[in-house]
Amino acid sequence: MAGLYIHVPFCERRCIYCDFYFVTTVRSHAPFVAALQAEIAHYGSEYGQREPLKTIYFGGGTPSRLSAPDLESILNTVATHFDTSAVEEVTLELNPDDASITYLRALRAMGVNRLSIGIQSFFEDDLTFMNRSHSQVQARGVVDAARTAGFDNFSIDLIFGLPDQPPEYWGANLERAVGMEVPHISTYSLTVEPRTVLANQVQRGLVSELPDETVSERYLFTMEYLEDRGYEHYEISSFSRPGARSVHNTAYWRHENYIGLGPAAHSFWWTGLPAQRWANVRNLRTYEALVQDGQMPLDFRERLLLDDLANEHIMLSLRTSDGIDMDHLEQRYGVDLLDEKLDDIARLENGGLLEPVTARTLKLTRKGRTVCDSVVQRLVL
Amino acid sequence: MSYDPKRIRNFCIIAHIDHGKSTLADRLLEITGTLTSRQMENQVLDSMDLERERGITIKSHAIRMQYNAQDGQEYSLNLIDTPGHVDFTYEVSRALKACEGAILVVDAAQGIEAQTISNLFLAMENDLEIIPVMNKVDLPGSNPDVVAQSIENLIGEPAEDILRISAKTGEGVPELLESIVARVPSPKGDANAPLKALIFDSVFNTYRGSIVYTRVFEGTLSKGQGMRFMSNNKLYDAEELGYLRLDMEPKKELRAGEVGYVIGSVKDVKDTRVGDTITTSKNGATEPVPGYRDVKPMVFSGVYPTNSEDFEDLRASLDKLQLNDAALTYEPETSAALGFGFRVGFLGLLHMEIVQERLDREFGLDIITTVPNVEYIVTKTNGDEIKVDNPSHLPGTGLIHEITEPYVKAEIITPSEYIGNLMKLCQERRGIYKNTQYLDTERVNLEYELPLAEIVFDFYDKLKSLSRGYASFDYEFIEYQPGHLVKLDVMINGDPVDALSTIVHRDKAYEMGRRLVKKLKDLIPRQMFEVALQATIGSRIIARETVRAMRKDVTAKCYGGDISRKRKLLEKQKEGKKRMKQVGSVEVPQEAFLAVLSMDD
Repeated sequence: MAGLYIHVPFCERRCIYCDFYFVTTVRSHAPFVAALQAEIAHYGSEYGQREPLKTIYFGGGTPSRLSAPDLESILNTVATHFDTSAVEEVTLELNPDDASITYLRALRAMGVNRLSIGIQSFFEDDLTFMNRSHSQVQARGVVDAARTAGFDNFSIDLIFGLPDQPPEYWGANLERAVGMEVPHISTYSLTVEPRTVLANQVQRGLVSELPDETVSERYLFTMEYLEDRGYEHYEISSFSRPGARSVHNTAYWRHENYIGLGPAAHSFWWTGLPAQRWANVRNLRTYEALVQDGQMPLDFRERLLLDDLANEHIMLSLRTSDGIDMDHLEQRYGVDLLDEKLDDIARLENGGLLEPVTARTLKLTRKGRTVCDSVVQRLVL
Repeated sequence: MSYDPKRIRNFCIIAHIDHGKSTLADRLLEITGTLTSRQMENQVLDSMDLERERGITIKSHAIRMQYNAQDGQEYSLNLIDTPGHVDFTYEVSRALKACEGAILVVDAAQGIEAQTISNLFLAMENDLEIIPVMNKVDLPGSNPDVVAQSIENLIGEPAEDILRISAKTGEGVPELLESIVARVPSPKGDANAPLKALIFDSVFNTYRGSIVYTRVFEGTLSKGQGMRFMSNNKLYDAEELGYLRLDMEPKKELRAGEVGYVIGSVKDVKDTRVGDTITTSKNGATEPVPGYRDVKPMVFSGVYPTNSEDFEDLRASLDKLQLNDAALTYEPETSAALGFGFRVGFLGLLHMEIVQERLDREFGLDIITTVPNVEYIVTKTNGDEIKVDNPSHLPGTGLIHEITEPYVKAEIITPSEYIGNLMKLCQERRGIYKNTQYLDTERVNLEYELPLAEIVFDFYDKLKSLSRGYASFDYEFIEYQPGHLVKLDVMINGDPVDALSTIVHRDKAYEMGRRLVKKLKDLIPRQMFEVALQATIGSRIIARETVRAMRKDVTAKCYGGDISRKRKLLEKQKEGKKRMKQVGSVEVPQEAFLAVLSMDD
C-alpha cells in the first residue's frame, strides 16, 4: 500500500516563517493542473499497478487555492491511473479563508475525508505577525464550518514560540482547540528557516527568537496539557484523539512507499535495495515545462543502502510514541542497536531522556522529546 | 674556469621578512646571467609552497653565480640563503659561518627590525664583512635618510656611503655586485691541507638520500673519496659532488673556499647534521670547524589524530617530515583524554605551526594539538633530576624539590612611543629588564630576559597589537632558572583531562584557572546533560563553571516527505562530531585543547 502526495504550490501570500515551495502570483492554475495530470499519468503507468494507494494527501503551498472542479479532475485522473479501491484517507490542507460551506461540501462530495487546517493561532495579532491570510474570526469559525460540511476527521495546525506573543495566548489557543474537540492537533514551535522573511527579520534585529528555555517550557506544557485531556502525543509535533492519527504521515515515519507529485514534492520507494528517494524541481515553470515536454521534472534522486535506511529509521521512529523496536530494527535493517549503542542508551535512560516501552522497545520521554535531534545524533550509526 | 680562491666570494643576505631578500636574489641571478629571463621564476630560492606563501625562507639553499667584474676578471659568487626566523637561529649561524660577507638589506620605509639585528649581530660575531643596502628606495613613503642614520648608528658605516637600491627595478644592483667583489674578502684556506668542509644545510631526496650543502674551509674533497662526518664518525663515499647552479652541476672536486653539494647515499638526514664537519676517512683533520651543536627542541606539544585509527598514518607522516627536518623530534605518548599520539618537539612556535600545517596540507591528517609548553627540569626531593616535556607528567607537589624553566634573552625593537606598552607586557610575562638602546631618534631596542614559557603563548600577537604591528622581536635561549611553578589541571565532569594540564607560575595560577574554565565554557557546546568544568591545583578546586544542559534541539516539522534533507543534516552533524573528542560522555571540540591560547583578558 502506498501514499500519494500532491504538492499545490499556490499561496495567497507569504507567511513569514514558511520555506515550503509556493508562488503568490495570481495566474491561471490550468497549466499546473495539466502538468500534474500528465505527471499522474506517467507515474501511474510506472507505479500505479505495483501497489494500491492507501492515502492521498494534498499539501502545499495552499491546496485550498485550487477550485473544487480542479481538485475533482485531479482526483479523477488519480483514480484512472492508480488503484484507489483501498484508499482510506484523502487529506487536503486548507486555509481558514478558503473555508466556505459550499467549497467544503464540494470537497467532501469528491471524496476528501480529512482536512488539515492552517489555523496557527486564534489571535489576530499573532496572525498579523505571521502574515497569515486569514482573520481571527475565520480561525474561530472554520471548525464549525468543517463539521457542518460533514468532516469529522480533521487536524488543526497551531504555532507556538512566537516572539512577543503574550504567554497566556498559547494556553488559550490549546484550550480553544480542546474545547472544540478537535480530533487532531499539530503543534509546531516557530522555526527560523534560512531564506525566509522571518530569518531576514531576525538577522536585522527586528525580531528576536525566544530563548530555548522558554520554547522548551511551552513544548513541555503542551505535552502535559494535551495528554491530560485525552490526546495521544504520537509524534513530535502531532497529537491525536484515539483513532485520529494521520495515516498518510505515519507512512513517512514507517518507511512505507510514497510518490510525490507537483513541484518540490518528495518520493520514496523501497521494494529492493537500493531504496530510492527523489524530489521534483522547486520551480513551477520549470516543472510545467519539463512535464509538458515529456521529461521527468527531477531535482535529485538518491539511492539508499541498508545503513542509510537504518539511520533514517532510527531518526524517524524515535520521533514517534511507538519508538524504536529493536527486533524490527534487526530484522528489517540488520542493526543490533543494543549491541552497538549500549553505553549511550544506558546514559540516555539514566538521564531521563529515553524510556523503555517494552523490553525491546525504546521511546523518548517528554524531556527527551525537547532534545530529540541530539538523542538521534547519539543513536545513529 | 680554473680554481682561484682569490676570485671566489661567499656571501649571504640578511633581511627581515618582506624587506626584499628574495627579490634581490632574483636580480643578482638575472644580472649575472645565472638565470635567463625565460627560466626566471620569482623568488627562486624559496622552493617550498609554504615558504612562499608566508614569505619566509625556512631552509637555506645556495647558488653559484659567475660574474664579470669591471676589473676584467671573472668571479664566482656563492650566494648562501639563510632562514629568516628566530626559530632557526642556529641554522642561520651555520649558513653565516660559510660566508665571508653579508649584504644587510633594510627596507627604506620600515627601517631595521629585531630579526635583522639579531642576524646582523650573528654575522658580526662571525667576522663577516657587512655591506648595508637600503631597498625599496623607489617606493613612496621610504625614508632613506633616517634609515641610513640608524644603520650608521648600528654598524658605523657612514650614512652617505650606504647603497640605495631597488631590488624590484634593479636600480643600484650592479653597483652592489661591484661592492661584493671589492669588499667581501676572498676565502682563506689551503687546498692541500686535511679536509674540513662545513655542512650548512641538507635536504632529503627520495632517490639519492641526503644531499649535503657544504662549504670547504681546508683541503679538497674529490669525487669517490671516503668521507667521515666528524660529529658521529659515520663513513660515506662522496659518490657525486659539484656546484650548485640552478640545478646541480657535477664536478670532480670541491676545494678550499668553494661551496657546493655532496651526495653519498646517506639514507638518514640525521647523519648529516647542519654544523657538522666533513673530513676524509683517511688522513682527515683532527679538529672540526668550531661551533657545532646538537639542535634541541625548545617547545613541545602533544599531537594526536582526531580519529584514533589515524595513529599509524600520523607516525608515517612524522617519519617523512623528519627526513627533511632533522630538528623535529617526536616520541609516542598516551593521553587518557586523547588516546595515542606523539609528544613532538619543535625549535619554536613558527616551526610548530609549519609542522602542523604540513601535516594537514601535505598528509591530509586531522589532528588535535595540545597547548605548547617548554621543557622543565625538576629536582625531586630524593635528589633525582628529571626532564618534563609534558605537564601531565609533573610529579606531585610533595615530590618536587625545585623546578627550573628555560629563560631567553629577548630583543624587542619598537618605535619609542610603544615602550610603555611593551615594558608592561614584558613585566606581566615575568620579564627581567636588562637594557634600552636607542637605534635612532625614534627606534629603540629593548632587552629583556623572559621565561620561554611566557612567550610560547600569545606573546608575539600581543606584542604586535600593543605596537600597532610596528614592534619586532627575537630571542635566544640563555639558561634554566628556578621558578615557583605549579601544575594547573582541568576536570570535565570530575574526570581530569590530562591534555588540558598546564604548568604556570604560582602567582598566576588562580587567574589562569578562572580564565581557562571560562574559555572552555564558551568553547564546549551545550550537551544533553550538564557539564561541570573545574580548574584544580593538586586537590584544590580553584575555579568552576557549568555548561548548562541543552534545552531544546528538535526539528518541528518532519513531513511533506522530505526526509533527505534531515538525513543529510544528520550526516553533516555526524561529520562535525568526528572533529570532536569524546572525553567521558562529553564531546569536546578540538579548539578546546588550545583554549589557553585564545583566552581573553
